[in-house]
Amino acid sequence: MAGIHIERVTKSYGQLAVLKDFSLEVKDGEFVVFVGPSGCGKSTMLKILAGLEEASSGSIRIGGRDVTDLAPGDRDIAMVFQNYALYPHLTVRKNMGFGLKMRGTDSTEIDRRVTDAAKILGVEHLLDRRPKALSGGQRQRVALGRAIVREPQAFLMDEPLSNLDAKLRVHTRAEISALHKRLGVTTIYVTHDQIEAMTMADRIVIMRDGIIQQIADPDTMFRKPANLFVAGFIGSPGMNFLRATVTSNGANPAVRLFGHEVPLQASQSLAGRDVVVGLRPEHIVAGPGPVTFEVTPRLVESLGSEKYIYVDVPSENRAEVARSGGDERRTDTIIARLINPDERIADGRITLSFDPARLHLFDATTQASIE
Amino acid sequence: MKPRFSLDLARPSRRHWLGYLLLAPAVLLIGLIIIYPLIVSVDISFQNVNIARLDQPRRPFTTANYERLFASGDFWNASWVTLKLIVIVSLFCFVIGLATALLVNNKFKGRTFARLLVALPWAMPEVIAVVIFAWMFDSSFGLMNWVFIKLGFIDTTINWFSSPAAAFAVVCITMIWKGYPFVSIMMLAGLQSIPEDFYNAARVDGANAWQRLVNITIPSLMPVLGVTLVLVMLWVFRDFSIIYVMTGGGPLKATQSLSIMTYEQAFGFFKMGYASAIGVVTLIICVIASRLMIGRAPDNI
Ligand SMILES: Nc1ncnc2c1ncn2[C@@H]1O[C@H](COP(=O)(O)OP(=O)(O)O)[C@@H](O)[C@H]1O
Ligand SMILES: [Mg+2]
Repeated sequence: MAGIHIERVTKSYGQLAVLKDFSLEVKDGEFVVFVGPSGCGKSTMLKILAGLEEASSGSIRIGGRDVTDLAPGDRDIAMVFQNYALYPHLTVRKNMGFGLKMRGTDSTEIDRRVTDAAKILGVEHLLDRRPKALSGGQRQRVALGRAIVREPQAFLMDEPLSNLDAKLRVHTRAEISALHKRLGVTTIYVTHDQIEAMTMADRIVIMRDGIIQQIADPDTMFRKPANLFVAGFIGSPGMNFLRATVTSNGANPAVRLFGHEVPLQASQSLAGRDVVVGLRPEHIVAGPGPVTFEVTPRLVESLGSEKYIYVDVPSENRAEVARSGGDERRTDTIIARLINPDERIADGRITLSFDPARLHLFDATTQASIE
Repeated sequence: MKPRFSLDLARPSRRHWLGYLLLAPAVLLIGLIIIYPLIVSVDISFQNVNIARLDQPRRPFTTANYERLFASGDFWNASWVTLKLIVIVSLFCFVIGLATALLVNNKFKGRTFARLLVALPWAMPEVIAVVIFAWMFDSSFGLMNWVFIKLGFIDTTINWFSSPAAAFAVVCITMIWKGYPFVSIMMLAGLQSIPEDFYNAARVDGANAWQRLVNITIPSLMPVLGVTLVLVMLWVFRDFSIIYVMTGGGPLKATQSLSIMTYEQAFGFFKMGYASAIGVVTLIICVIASRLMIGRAPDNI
């Protein structure tokens, strides 16, 4: 077990800069998740950590030892691959023992460790099968098993759940967390799924185009996103963004949202600035509140225990915010996520409200959060 | 509803009819050009026929051809020559084919050109290849004698085609040169189907290059390897033109393989019944050998 220090790592493929100045300190036993949209350089960073790719510059230390130019096999790390990379010609037992065999561990020791790992993961009955005869979930466990028998200083996992179906993914997510608690080995986990990141991580590193956007624990990430990208990426559905200009209304600065003057708890110096106001869908509630407005929903989606209400945004509040890939949200609607709403929608009208204290403020030009 | 007399192939119960219908022409053709001659030659091998003619009445059934065959020293000599050829040529084809495949599977400048170069002998017609090699090994103007003398391996020119051992070696070399690209192409295809992550996982597990070759590359190639081996062996077994053009089976029958012997008996001595018997025995050996090989190939992947 060991901490990992990544210092100013960069990586370019020819002209293409994939990682720009990546620095991170991972504590011993920590579970760190790299998250970001596809193509942002997560896998590349993981491969550099594993020694499968060479960093263009920067240095890496694992457990205090400089491993920047060490072969993958000498770094004492284990990796779990997205497609598991189990060898089809070997049985599960041999697959799991492969790493130890390559290191010349004696066979009784290999056997003992493989059996132990198989017990932990509940794959003892599969040990003599070939990977081909396993289900997706079982292969996933075997791949984890192959990593844990090595008893390495750190685990690196590259989207290990993305080949599983939704239900199994939720289940295995919890199992990996439990396994981490049990073994306490430093783990770096890569995913593009913010829910995985939020549920599993001690700390999240959120990346975009090879640049770290924010490093924080899941709670902070949700409550205090550093910029518009993080705010839009974390949470489902993502945060609503509204454009406004701060006005000075006597003592307090304020913004105009949905035709209401909304006072802000912010410094007077903001007056006159263009801002993007962020409001999480779950912070809009049904019924009257500090800021109340009545709307005609464009669309209501019911998920049983909750409802998603799509609301038109007045044109003065429409914000052009580039969101992360895949999450194509219209700029002219916001979403309200109502948990068990009692409020009936009468004549197509519904009363919604929000608390101005819940608003996030971002600079419209730099996209950074305003405290 | 009026009854339908048209052949409704879309019905689930008749769906396989279409398959048979589409296969029929191919089956007929194969029957005509492969099965029928096969039956005829088996039939002829049990008759005392010199020049086979289909319009003549059948001769009486006899096993004389086979008795003569198994008693003949020539047959055992030809079998031994064929076996030696198969073992030596297949072995070297595999070593060279695998090595070149591994080589051109790496990323380097001019890889496409290198791949082309590796595959070149395969594209060359056999007879042309033989003429080139016959020239290179020519006793008076040949390149090889010159090279060997310059390198100091020999001090007088070797007459390659009058010494049995040397002639056999030249035939082997020509066949290897002609045969390895096929192995190389097959192996390259096999190599490219091995996921990169297998190697990444092995590297993380601390396997060095040799361990990766032995533990991942070779086992992953096994299925392709088995099929390729059978195909190469069958090719050596029945290849005729290289040996015939190069040595004609000589000197002293040192390069007379079963196919050369068959040809010589049939069209040299016009003993078609006897030649058919050799052909039938060859066929049986081929079938058994390939069954064994394919049956042994591991069925993973
Ligand atoms: N071997 C390579 N050569 C050139 N570009 C690459 C290579 N590997 C990755 N890239 C590029 O680097 C970027 C980051 O890739 P990757 O780290 O795999 O992203 P992800 O965050 O989805 O795992 C992508 O734009 C990809 O196209
Ligand atoms: Mg990736």
